[in-house]
Amino acid sequence: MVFSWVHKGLRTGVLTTRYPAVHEQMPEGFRGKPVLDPDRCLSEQGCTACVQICLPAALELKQEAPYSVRNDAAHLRSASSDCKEVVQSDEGGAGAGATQLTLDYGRCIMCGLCVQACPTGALQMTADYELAARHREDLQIVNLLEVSTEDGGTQDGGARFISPPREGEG
Amino acid sequence: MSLQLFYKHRGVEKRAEGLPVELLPLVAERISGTSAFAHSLAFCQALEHLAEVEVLPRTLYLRTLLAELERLYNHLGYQADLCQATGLTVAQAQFDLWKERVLRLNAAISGHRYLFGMNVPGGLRCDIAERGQQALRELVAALRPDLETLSRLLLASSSHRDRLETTGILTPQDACSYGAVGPIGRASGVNRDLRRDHPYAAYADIDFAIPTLQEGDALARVRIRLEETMQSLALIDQLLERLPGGAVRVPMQRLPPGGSALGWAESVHGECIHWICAGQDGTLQRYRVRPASFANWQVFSLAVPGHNILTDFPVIEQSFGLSFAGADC
Repeated sequence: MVFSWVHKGLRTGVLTTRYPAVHEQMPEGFRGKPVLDPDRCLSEQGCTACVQICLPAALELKQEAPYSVRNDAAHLRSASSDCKEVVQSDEGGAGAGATQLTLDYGRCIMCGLCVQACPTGALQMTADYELAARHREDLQIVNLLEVSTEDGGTQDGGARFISPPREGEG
Repeated sequence: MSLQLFYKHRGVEKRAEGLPVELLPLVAERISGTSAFAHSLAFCQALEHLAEVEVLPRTLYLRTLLAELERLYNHLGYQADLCQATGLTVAQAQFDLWKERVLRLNAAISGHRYLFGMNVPGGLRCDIAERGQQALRELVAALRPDLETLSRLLLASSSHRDRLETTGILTPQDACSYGAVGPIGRASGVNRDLRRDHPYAAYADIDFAIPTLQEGDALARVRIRLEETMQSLALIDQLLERLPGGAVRVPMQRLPPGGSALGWAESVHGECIHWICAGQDGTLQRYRVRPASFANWQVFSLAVPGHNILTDFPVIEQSFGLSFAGADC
């Protein structure tokens, strides 16, 4: 009988794939990490559809207080180029009611309900499953609205995932 | 042998309270990942029964098909696990190979390797396209003859079989008194299966057999699982052949305040029962779930003592194939 198992095994051959050296493509429709296109997001106009449907509260919306109620020099900086820096500081937003949309990939369960709820298709599901990170913070508190896709920024807000070593790289 | 369960207690029942209806299946799925579809199915059936929503025929058939897919990959995995316990490594690889193929098919047709996110109150989140159905047909056609070969080889491998015969016996009397469910019960003479006895989804429309044995040892459990796997393949073929057309989802209605309903499904582990009660505001007020593993872990401690030796323990554990998370929920 051992002989027959040997036969069976040899006939099947080796089916082990070469991941991570060769990337494993997931099928179409596979639910990996969601990403946001900030240009289509309506959170600044008051839309909270994704935040409301998120069961593990991975998506969070914060409205920064308008600068006029704060008595500091932050409001003197220009709104566009220093926006990221100002929003992250404790001194409040540079504009009136700056919106901060964060997605914690550590909490996300990739259910895709936020994508379904989004009225403009700003949130999209990708098939990216390589979400390992070295530190918990690298997965979270990513201001999705601050990331411009024109300057090559990634739509996941630059969450610091570890990239697996690939063949022909490095 | 004393079991110390409930380290995986997560308060699932409490978490479900007050949630909007569309989020509830997400909670039910996560009771036990390997019976996620069965749990969300039972739960959605309870919701639909409570709200008096009748799902479409295509939904019933596809739900049955996905439930059998879940049963299929689990049974293949349990054979692999048992071969690992007995050191039959080529057999383990062969069964694991088939399990992986089914998981990849799951990912292709549902977006998730473990069929999460398919059941919604009112039907299914999405349809299974013709391409997915064809892939499923091809998988079944390839698996059936290979499974026959593997079963024959497995049951003739004395290094494997000798460790299963008379090991971890659960007597029919104990199985009956302690309410063992699922394949564990059926290997010990408890001739019960929700699919036949309380049909749900499309099970009333199709033909299948429920194998039962009396010996109650690990070998009986293996044979029940092998036979159930073959039955699942036959079920999938029938369902694909007779799949009705149409949509797969109807709108969900509001839950009547104060109403309650029962939903059930035969997962790979056995009977899963979900009871829900709606509050006055239309959200879930109380959720009570009895996963199959909760019933079966109790009989596990009966099967271990006796004439079994220490090295029989992994064999007994794998032959039971129970879910810790399912028991604790």
